[in-house]
Amino acid sequence: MSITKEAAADALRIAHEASERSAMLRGYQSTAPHLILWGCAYAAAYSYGYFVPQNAGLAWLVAVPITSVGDVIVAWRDKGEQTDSGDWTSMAGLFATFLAFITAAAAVFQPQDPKQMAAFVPLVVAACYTVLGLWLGRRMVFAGIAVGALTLFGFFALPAYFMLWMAAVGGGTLILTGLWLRQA
Amino acid sequence: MDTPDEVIHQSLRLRIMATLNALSDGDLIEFTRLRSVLSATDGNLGAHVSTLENADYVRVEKDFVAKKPRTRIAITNRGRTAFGQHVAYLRSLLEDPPIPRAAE
Repeated sequence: MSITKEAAADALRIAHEASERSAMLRGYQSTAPHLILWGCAYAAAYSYGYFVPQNAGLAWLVAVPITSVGDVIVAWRDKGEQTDSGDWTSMAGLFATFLAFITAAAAVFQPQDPKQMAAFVPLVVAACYTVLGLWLGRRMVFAGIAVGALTLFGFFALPAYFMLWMAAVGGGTLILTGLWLRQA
Repeated sequence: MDTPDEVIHQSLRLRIMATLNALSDGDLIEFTRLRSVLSATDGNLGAHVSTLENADYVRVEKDFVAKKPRTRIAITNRGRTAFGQHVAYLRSLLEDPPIPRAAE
């Protein structure tokens, strides 16, 4: 069997494209359940924040740890026995960094209105999804841009209904995007 | 490797191997999902997976989930090595041969 240079280049291109596509789809499959989980958290916590505004922060104090535990369970089921201590360290580090950044930013900016923090966190999340999407694939970029744009729209155009907007549209976008990634 | 791997070099088999090689060790992919990823037909994909299985480049696991049959495929260590060697061979074809030194 002899292969020409052109055929070799073509075969390498085919192999590369298949490999890239496989990695992208695997990334989507891994990420999808996390988006759905956080979409449900958004829907629950923002709804609570709308109907019980005086305890809006409490909803997140409950939702974040529960959803984070859900993230760990999902990640463990995804990788199972292949999960090693490095993976857990990375996940814990990522979460700790995110929490530290949000806390530090709040301390620096001193938001006067709870809606500012309610908008700031999903904007940071949206930026993270968009950046992640540059490596994982376009669907994540779409998710990030969608959540960011909808957050800004709700904050500026619907201030009286912002929490409800985020529950329905923010949470809904994450859930629908998670389902969309799973279909890929 | 000085020769191509004829088992791997066929277009769909190359794509199957590249797809499986991108997964982590031990990761299995369902046949239906692989078919969807590669836009292949059942028969075509099945035939090529069999060829790769006979060469011990992939392993096929069959079980039942909620009474429905499920077929999953993973690359073997031998398959990973063979794929890597075949890619290395293809790359070597693209390298320009060294310019021979003039006799003194």
